[in-house]
Amino acid sequence: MVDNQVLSTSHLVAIRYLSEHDILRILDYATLIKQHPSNFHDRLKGKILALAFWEPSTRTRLSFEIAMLRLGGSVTGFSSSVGTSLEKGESLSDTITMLANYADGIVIRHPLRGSAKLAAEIAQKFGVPVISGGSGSQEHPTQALLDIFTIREFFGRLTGLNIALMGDLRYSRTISSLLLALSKFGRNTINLISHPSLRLQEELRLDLQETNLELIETEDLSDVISEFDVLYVTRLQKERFPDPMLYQKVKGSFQLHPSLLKSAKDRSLILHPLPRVDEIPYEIDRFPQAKYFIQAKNGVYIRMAILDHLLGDESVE
Amino acid sequence: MNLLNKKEEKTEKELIVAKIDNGIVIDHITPPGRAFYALKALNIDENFPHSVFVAINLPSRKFGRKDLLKIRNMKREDLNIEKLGLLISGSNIAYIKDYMIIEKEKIKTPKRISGVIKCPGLNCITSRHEDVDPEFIVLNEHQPISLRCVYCDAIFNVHEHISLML
Repeated sequence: MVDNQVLSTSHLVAIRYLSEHDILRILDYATLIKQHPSNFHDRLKGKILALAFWEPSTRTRLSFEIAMLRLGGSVTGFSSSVGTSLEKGESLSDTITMLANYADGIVIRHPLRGSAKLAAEIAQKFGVPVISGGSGSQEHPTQALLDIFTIREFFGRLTGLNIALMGDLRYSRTISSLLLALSKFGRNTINLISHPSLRLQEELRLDLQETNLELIETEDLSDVISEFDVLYVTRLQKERFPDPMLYQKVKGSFQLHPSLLKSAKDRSLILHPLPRVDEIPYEIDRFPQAKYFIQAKNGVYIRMAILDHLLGDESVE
Repeated sequence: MNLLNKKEEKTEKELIVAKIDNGIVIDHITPPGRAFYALKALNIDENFPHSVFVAINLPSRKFGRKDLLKIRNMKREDLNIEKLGLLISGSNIAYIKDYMIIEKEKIKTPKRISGVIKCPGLNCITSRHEDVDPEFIVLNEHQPISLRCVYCDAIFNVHEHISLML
């Protein structure tokens, strides 16, 4: 029997509120689901999940939807303000209050920081769990869980790894959540490869100060190309640069070239939260280290595990 | 020089010895100049109906220089001590009734604070029209005090954002 009622929280709004124990239980449960998915086909039968997406999404929204369907539940919601009262200026507070009255669980993606926490506080009054699908540039906790699930699946551990993070480290919510997740485990070396204007947020740096992560900053991927176990690439967003010319000038420095990858370890991983633009060219997909589509697939198992933990009623045999 | 200082000290003492009949006295406000922040925190402006005595940069044996406030007809229940704790922690408040001190209190820095200052984070959910009070964790006990928004994680110095006080 696997106990699915073990999380210390009734919502999942940020990695920072999860313990190492919480994270491991989700990863273990997702592993079990991945091994025997049919055992879980009716876990959430009769339950309805509301997807409240104020921002565009492909993977997060669809994988939550598929995860819910694979658990036997149903899905409703919106994926933009078009056709909803959001166009009339309805607040997040009122929207969440309404959804908490309709559904058994809510997944929220919103452009503002703190949105998922506020949604959880509101839905808590109705006993309805809230899961963050991304809150501005703050956190994207389920992405981090599927990232470390993929890393652990490949290496069998989450410590003693050399992990290189490249691209937009400042505004990427996946980077924030991934670093906070890794910081719950043992010692890892983190190489931070970015343009100086896109280095980690100061708040995040403060959070990581007292952890076991060894942070090393560089602007050049070739410095670490032969050392990394995991290379995690994120998309550079043109609008984040104060000067469009600067974007054009630096973007090439944060692209992965096949010629450079020849120096990488055979047993290493290249991950990307997707969508990619041109930071990982299609040729890289043929390299054995490229695992970003497996990473994306793992998102369904992780989200099934989370939904089952937060919306499910009982332990599974 | 010493004589001059003593003379100046005496003159300043003479300026502030006038007692108030009822109200509060906030003493040992440091560093000097913080009394202005306290007035802001107490919502004292040109519309305030009672007498307010403001003394800035007084000589102090313990602190070198300090500020002092005397506010007539203000009571304990009119104060938001936590709000004052963000700006003038370490100061003392004496509550006066019929010219006598009836209670004294040291202003302490709160550990967590809600509903007294807005978050300066431009992308914080609390900066929008939502059903939420801004809430912060106080990061350090001594001045200058920094806060961290429990919603957006923004860290900022209170004294640089006095205009955001509610």
